[in-house]
Amino acid sequence: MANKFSDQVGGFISLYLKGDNPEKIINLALARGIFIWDIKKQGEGIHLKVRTSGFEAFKNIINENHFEMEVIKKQGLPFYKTVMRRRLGLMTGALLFVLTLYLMSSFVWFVEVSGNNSIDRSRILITAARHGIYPGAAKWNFSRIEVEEAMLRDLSEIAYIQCDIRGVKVSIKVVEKILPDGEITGPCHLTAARDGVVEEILVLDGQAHVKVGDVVAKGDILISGVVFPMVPEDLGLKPLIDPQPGLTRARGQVKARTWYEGYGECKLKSEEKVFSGKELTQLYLETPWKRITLKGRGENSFAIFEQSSNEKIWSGRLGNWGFIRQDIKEQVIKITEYSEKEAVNIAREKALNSLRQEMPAGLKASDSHFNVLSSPSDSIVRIKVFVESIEDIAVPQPIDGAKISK
Amino acid sequence: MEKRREIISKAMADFLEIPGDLVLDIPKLTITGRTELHLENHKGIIEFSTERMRINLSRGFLEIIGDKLEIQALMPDEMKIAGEITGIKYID
Repeated sequence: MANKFSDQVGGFISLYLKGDNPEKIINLALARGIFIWDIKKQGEGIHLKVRTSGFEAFKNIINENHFEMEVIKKQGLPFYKTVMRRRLGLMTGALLFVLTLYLMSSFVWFVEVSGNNSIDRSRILITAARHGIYPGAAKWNFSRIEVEEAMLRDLSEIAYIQCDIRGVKVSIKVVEKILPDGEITGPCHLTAARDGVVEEILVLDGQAHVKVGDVVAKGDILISGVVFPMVPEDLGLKPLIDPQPGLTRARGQVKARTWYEGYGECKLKSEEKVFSGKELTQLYLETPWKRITLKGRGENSFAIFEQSSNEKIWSGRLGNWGFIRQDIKEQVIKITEYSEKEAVNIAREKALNSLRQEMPAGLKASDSHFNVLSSPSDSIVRIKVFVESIEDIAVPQPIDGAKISK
Repeated sequence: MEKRREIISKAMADFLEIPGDLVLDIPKLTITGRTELHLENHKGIIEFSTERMRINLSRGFLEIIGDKLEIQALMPDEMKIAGEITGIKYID
């Protein structure tokens, strides 16, 4: 059967034949192995198609039988050759375009970094650049796996790295290592981080200096790292005259009731300036002789306004030249009035916000209440919020000579 | 004489269970709907027009009657005819 694609590649010719007994031509072509198709009778002649390769042989048959032949159309790739030759510029342009596109897409144009929290983005970029990934690098000059391995070696804080090359963009994904906190290895005390009342005490190592119910201030020793040897009383031994204390790294947990407070206020009547939306733009042309108004004639009639000006001045031999632009925006005073209830709500919200900034994240409040400090006749509502919570307040404090190892 | 050879060939083909179109040069027609006809083992074209087509076979010829008939493909032993086919007739 007629294969459309191979016909297009080889090229074919549409013909119109005129003469008696076209069947004869068809049978002769058939006998000589010339492939013809789409044979249609039209008027006195027939339409048919023949391959370029068989056209010469077919023409011989036609001439032998004295038929009239008319070439209607030449189709297929070989016939485009002449068209291509005629439009050399277009072809070159198309080729150049494809080539440029290929060339441009084989460079890295963008480098993106994600996943880094504590490591500086520029450090990752510099390390990547040292191993071959930087904007403008040719893709054939580096191997993704090698760069990943080298970067992992160079950046010790990184646990995993992935360089994803997508077109002209390289996205570097990193996962940071979670390093343990610097631990105090030498002897130390546990001291109070803030004021509070001790609720619970658990000593793992060291000697407790406080008991449940004690009020402690910030900096007080809770569990001491200096341990005196205990002498069992019931053994009847005499206590040591000069007991030598031992040093240890105190460990334990001291839970204490602590307080936090936050403050917020809200005026019952507040005034603020807002832009009304009306504005006047003036544009001047500055010349050494005269200042010419280009735009925005008329006086500034706004009662309250904000003015900003932008100047571009060049000084020449005759004087100054340039443009001056002035933007004048009208402002109006907006008065906001709150009822006492609304003001209390706003002030409390502000107080809670300030409180949240002070409290460590994740701390649970066990009790909270708020006080209105201002009297009802005041024009401002002041509020203080108190929050009570229970938290571990013990922090290690090295005893002289002990060092913090990292 | 011709007829006798045909009878013998047919008997042989039947005995060996070989399809007739392979051994006997018998025409094989495949008609799809009313518009497409595929013919194998033909022996050339006798008459060709848009209403009537006569195709030579090993024995007799085939007459196809229809409208807007055309030969879509033509090869040494097969051909494809398209158009509105209304009748097919074997003529000796």
